[in-house]
Amino acid sequence: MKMRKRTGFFSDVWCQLVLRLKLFLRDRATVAVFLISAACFLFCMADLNLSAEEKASIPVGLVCLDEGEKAVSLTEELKQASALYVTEGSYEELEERLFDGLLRCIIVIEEDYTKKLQKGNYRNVVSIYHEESDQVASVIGDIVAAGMMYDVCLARGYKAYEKLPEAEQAKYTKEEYKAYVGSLLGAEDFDFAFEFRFVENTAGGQEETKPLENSLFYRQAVAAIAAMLMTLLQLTTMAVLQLERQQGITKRRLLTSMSKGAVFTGNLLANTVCSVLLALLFAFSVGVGIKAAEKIFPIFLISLLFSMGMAVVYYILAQCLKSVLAYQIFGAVWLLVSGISGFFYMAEGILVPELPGLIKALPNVVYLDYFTRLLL
Amino acid sequence: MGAILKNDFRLLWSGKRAGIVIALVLLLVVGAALVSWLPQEQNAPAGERVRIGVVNQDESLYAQMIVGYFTENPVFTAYVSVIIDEEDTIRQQFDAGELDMYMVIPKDFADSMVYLEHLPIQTYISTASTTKALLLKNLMESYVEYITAVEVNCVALYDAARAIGLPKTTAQTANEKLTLELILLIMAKDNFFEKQVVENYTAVRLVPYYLHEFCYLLAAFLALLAGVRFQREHHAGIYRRLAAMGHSAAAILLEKQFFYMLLLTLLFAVLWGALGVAGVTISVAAFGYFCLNVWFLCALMLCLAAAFQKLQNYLLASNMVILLGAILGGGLLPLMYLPENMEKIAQFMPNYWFLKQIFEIENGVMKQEQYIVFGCFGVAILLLLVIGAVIYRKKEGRVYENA
Repeated sequence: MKMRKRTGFFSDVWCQLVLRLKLFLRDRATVAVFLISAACFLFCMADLNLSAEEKASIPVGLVCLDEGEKAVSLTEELKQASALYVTEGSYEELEERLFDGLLRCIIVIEEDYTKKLQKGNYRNVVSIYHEESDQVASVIGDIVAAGMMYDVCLARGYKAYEKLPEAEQAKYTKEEYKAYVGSLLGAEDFDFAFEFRFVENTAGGQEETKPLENSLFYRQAVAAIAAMLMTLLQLTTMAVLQLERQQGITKRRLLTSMSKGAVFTGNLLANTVCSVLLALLFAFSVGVGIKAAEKIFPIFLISLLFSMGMAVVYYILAQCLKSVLAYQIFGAVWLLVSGISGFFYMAEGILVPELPGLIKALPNVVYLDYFTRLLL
Repeated sequence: MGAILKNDFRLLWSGKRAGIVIALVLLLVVGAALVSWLPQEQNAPAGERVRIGVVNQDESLYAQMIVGYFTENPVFTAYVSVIIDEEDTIRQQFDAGELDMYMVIPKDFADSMVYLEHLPIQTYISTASTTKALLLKNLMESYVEYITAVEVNCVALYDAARAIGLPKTTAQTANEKLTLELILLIMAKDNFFEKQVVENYTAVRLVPYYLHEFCYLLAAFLALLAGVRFQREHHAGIYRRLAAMGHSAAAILLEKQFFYMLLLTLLFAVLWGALGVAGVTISVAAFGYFCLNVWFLCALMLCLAAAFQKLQNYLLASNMVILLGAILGGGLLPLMYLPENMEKIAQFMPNYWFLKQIFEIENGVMKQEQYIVFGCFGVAILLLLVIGAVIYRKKEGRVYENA
């Protein structure tokens, strides 16, 4: 008897699942909108994930007015700095981008940069054009200074060398001295002045993790956006249940002695199947972006679980609210609140104070936390 | 059309709808209060939020100068608060999660630079908050370059002096002098730059950026509800009956557009007023531009509602249009961080034009380009209404029978 009941339950779940999928796939407009959305989703996720490494940096404009050797080397240094995303051009072009909100500031390497540096004169050799109260300009100054420091110190070092008294052998020429310092720079002993260790608190104590990349922050933002889109899919697909409830279809279905649990499970599974495409697209684009195929499946799995969690939330909303208007209002509010909580998680401790436990328990925050741990 | 408009306003105060309108007004007022609270929160010292510990085992002047750099540099202290203590105490605080990072300046660190031994500063960064860890990593990495530059040049001078046959003491004296000179140079690195303020330029901060986007999304979701009402009235056969009375599809859509334009403008005027009372002033021009965007969103949602046969299809399409429009239009990830391809597409998104223009208008910058954008929005509203009316007229009867 028990066995029959169980078989009946699974058979009901299967019927509900097939019914829901058939209804979804037979509606051309729904399928068309879904496919267009999925294509847009793929485009956004692929573009964002593939550009994560360069776009995670601070966007700055660079004008080089000096063609000398030192200016060229500083330009290269800045282009390679992981904290900066450099756009080169004329001052006018870059100013336009600054006004359009596409740059944070403009760095101008002045005309006589190389000459001044070779003479050991380093005052005002670079100009930084920025907004009056922008503190980030100072941080950018620190990064640019790091690129200049070796040349400035070299010029000072050679001056000190020139001042040394004469000895048994002839002094190095400037070129020889430069070459010697250059050879030291590549030596193992000068690889690092800080030894960074990234530590994670785990149940078993503290563990060292691999070094963090700037792109991690960008990928978190992309995951927060993907989470919002996956939530939106659940909001819109579960709206059908609300409409069916209004039309009395839900009540009629119960007359067929189908249990509420079977209907719920069938609907949940159908929504999960619909979410597979988005979760897969997201996991794949992240996996390709970080060049780690082994991460695709875990990311896919947590994305799918997150979608299922959201489906449960919207199922409850669809069951509790009497009109589709109220469902849309509460659904959109939940989408925005949970979506914003994901961004708050990223800015916690920097732009916003420490998040209360309630916000930390929201699905988007939990999802982002797992996502981040997977990337670490 | 006037009669239908009057009726719509009258119905607004009947039954549950009045409750919804009052709830919305209250929500907007609470939102305004929150907005006026946010800037105060933003002004809280950021240095309180990121905490690092420094263990200085080196008593030399150079090490003191390095520590002084961390504690006195306004750029550093703007982000970070520094605690200097013994290693055990600092380690305990780090293990308890009270510190985000700690570093140990080893004994004889400065001497190692002078006497050519390499002793790195041990730096432990907690990954409990990856954002803080990344911020600290980037701050520290620029200092790596400074120390390496000093170290390499000091060693080079010593080696070069010894290579030409100078006695060890002379080489060491020169080395010590250069080390001090270069450390002082690092301290004065601000002299490398001439910092110039760009006139008539105000950078957009993240908090106002997202608040504006939030208002835009709120307006979009409210406009979406206008489409839901349109679909429900349509399925109830109301427009069919109106058509029988001689009202064309275009007239019905135009009336709905007027009604929701007025309603949403009134709602946002309440928000505008509440913000003003709370001390956040927004210029009339900026509010006007926001309203133009709201009207456009109403037209877009009504056009979608007229185009789709089923409510569920409309909900799927309109929700996706809002969120994908926000993503592609730089609403969720600020424009400067969008990849190149998305940046190109963003220029076709209303969300992009809203964010691009609103801050300029708020800063009092009025350019010819803005009038073109206003004109484009006006034309787009009319076009959407015409398209909506044409599509709606074609499928009018069929939909009613299916409802």
